[in-house]
Amino acid sequence: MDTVPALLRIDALTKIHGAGCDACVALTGPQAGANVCPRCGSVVACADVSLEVQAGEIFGIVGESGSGKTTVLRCLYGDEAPTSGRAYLAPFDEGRADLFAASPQRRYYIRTHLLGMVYQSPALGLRMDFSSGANIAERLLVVGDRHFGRIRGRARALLERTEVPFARIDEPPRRFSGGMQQRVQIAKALANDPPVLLFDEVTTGLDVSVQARVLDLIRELRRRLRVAMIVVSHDLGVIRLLAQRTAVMKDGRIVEVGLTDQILEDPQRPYTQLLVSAQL
Amino acid sequence: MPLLSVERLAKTFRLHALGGLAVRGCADVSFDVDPGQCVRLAGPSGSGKSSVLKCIYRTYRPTSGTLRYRAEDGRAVDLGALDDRGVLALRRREIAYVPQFLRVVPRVPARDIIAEGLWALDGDVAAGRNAADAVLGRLEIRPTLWDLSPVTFSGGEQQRVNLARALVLRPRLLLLDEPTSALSA
Repeated sequence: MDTVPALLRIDALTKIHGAGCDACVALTGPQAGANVCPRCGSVVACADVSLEVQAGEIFGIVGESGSGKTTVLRCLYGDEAPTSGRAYLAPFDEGRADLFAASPQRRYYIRTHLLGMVYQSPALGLRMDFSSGANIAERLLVVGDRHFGRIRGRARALLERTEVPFARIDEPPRRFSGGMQQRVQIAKALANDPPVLLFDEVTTGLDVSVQARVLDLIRELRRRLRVAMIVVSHDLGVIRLLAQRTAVMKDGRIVEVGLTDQILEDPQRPYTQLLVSAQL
Repeated sequence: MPLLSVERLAKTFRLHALGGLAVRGCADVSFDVDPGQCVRLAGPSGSGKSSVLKCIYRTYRPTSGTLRYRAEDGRAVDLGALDDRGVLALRRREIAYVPQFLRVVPRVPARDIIAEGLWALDGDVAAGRNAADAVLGRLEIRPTLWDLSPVTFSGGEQQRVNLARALVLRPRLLLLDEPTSALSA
């Protein structure tokens, strides 16, 4: 009944670390209970991952450590080159060009304008010894603005939106608490108003009160900016709070996709049932 | 023409950790709901009342049977076979579900919890708050409570917030799961 084309579509994404062989995909996955190919020893980080995200939707990916969730985000964002598969983004060549086949220059454009990434470790997303303002300005300079006042004004607005005290704009993130580092990272990801944000375990490792504030911020961003998001987490609580639809991953494969409440209350696959019953 | 036609609905849970043990939620349930009609599902605890509601809202995937729903635009859809996006679209505008107990994030004020469903539609913050306030007033929740989290409210007040959250969407089909069971007579 929904004929609106997806904002983002991933088709059969596969990422294999190592030489790879014809049997890699067939001999790994949830049935085999492993992601290392017994024939050639290559690691199948993810295989045949397909998903669609609509404008303004939050899509969750949940699964245990090593299930391939982060690999999906990293391939999409261009941190890793996929072994095979295609991805399409509506604002990129009207959704007709495969992101994975784009030239390095165009990939760079996608990373800086169409996608925003928030990593589990702030050190991956920020230059920890540069000021917070400079971290955000780096993104804004890519767009070609060279006006110092405008850039600083925009950095200020972004830090305010993510509740980082403006007085600390000239301090390097190294001096910040974990929660505040995450908020600077989110401000940077938002810099050029990308239509899709990618969150990789953003609250993992933060203490609960700080976790709650970061999650509140993400909910607020969804409400105010109506931006689409993929939220990767091992924590079903985070997924329940944020995502309308969720994919469950295990050994590099999506084992179940559904409405988040259906995944939690009526899980179909054996692994999903195990995951849900393991909740605290 | 009924708004909802439930035909031979069955829901069986298959528990893989227990060797595929089948647990029956409900079986062979059929009934119609006309527009504006109030239908009561009565029965003892464990008889499958909630399973029927959750299948209609698609929190559960029905095992068999059809759930023919006539949407506002006139189309008939089988809720059991509808894709997830179609279900989400109906939940946003047409079908609301009130769970037995209010479950909310403890930091969010009552009026925002109620307005959230409207914000998801158009993002108009002021209009959403106004609509939420109107429903809170109609359900006789004291205005001094509107900016507080309902976690601190009495059972009856919580249940009214729970109801307000669904009513504010002006749904065509409202699913109420034991709406008074947590309250004194």
